[in-house]
Amino acid sequence: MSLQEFQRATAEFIASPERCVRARADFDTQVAEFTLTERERRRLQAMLNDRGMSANCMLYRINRLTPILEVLPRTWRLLGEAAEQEVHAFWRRYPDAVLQYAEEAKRFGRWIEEQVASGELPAGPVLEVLRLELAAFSRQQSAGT
Amino acid sequence: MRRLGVGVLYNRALTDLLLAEQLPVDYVEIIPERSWTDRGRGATPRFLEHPRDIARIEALAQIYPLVAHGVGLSIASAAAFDLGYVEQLARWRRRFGLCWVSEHLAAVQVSGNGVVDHHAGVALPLAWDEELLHLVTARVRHAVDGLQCPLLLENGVVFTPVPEPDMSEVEFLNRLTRESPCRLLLDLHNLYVNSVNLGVDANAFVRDLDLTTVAEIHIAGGNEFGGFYLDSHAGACPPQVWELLEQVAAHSTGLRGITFEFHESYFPQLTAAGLERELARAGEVWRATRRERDVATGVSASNG
Repeated sequence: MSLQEFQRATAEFIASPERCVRARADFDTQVAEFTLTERERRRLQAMLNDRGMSANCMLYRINRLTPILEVLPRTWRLLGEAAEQEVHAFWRRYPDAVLQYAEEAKRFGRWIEEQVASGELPAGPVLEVLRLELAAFSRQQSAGT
Repeated sequence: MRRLGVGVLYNRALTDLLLAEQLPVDYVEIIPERSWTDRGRGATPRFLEHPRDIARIEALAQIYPLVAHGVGLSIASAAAFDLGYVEQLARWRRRFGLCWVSEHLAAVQVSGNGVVDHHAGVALPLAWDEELLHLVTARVRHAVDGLQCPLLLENGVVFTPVPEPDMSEVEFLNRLTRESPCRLLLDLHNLYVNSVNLGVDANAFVRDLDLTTVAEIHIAGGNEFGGFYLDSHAGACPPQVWELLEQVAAHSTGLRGITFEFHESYFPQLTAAGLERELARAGEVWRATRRERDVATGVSASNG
């Protein structure tokens, strides 16, 4: 159970550079939700203070961004300056990664649709382009030779 | 296990070249997960295959021996082992006549706090402890039983080593191959990445590793980003990887293949000619070191 908790804690910190920063200042509070042994606490604290943690966080973002850029490149461009803000909000809402391109792109697409519906994002061509790109990718995957 | 020679990790940029048999390769390595959508444990059907990708694999299988390189088994996750995933790999092993299946010695799935099979987005740093060794050795036995073919596990890249380990990574790998039917996929570029970022002594690593357990070697290139050197499969292998390959291949008496990996997004820079050069050079190492491997194992030079 403890190893499972250690892995879960590590994953949660990698998914959130902000939480890593908070944990460097107040480790006890940030790890309170995890059931860790003393050795695991020492390990996690050392890793959080290791410069390599920023590489972990960066790779997490690269890996999550890649499916979105691959499937929805024009949607991304149309979002313009809002794109980065939206993808960070999406990751905060869905911290579990789905590295299968179509699934992750669909999830991000649903997120954008919700943001438009709630007025957080302006309506406009972005929704039409989003749907077109999702449909095109789906067709590309399902077509035969 | 057949001795195959030099292979390439398949990506879509390679389709035409491979189908036209224009590359000097003896086998092709495929990533099964790129050809299906995994809807998760409990879903029916769980795996939705992509017809276009399947057709390409079937066409490749008509020409080349295939091996599989999985990315989703997460054999080092403390969460429950995914036997359904093993069964899917076993189905593919039979369907495409895969010579072997390799996977990463990695934990990418985490569970807990009411969440099951949460994908971490990256391979988590592993603690080289007795606890993990027991966990992985038991799972390797299950996996090999299910696959009915050799299972190779690959050494990974780490940016934040887990402190206070029970043993070194090399000791862990040596014990893993001694205490389970697992063979090694030694990724020399991953080792090089760790040497650049962490100061790992790559020469000492391969000196201390039981090279007789290495069945496959991966070679690749990378690039720098954000102050780190990454295993981005960005094109040609750096000189240090070639040096390691020459050193390691001669002593890896169980070696069955050397696989060059690159990411398709870098193909315009690598070019077909550049790819051929990498494969040809790997072929030279394969042939030059084969005699030494044969002598060490007492195999006739004309055999295999």
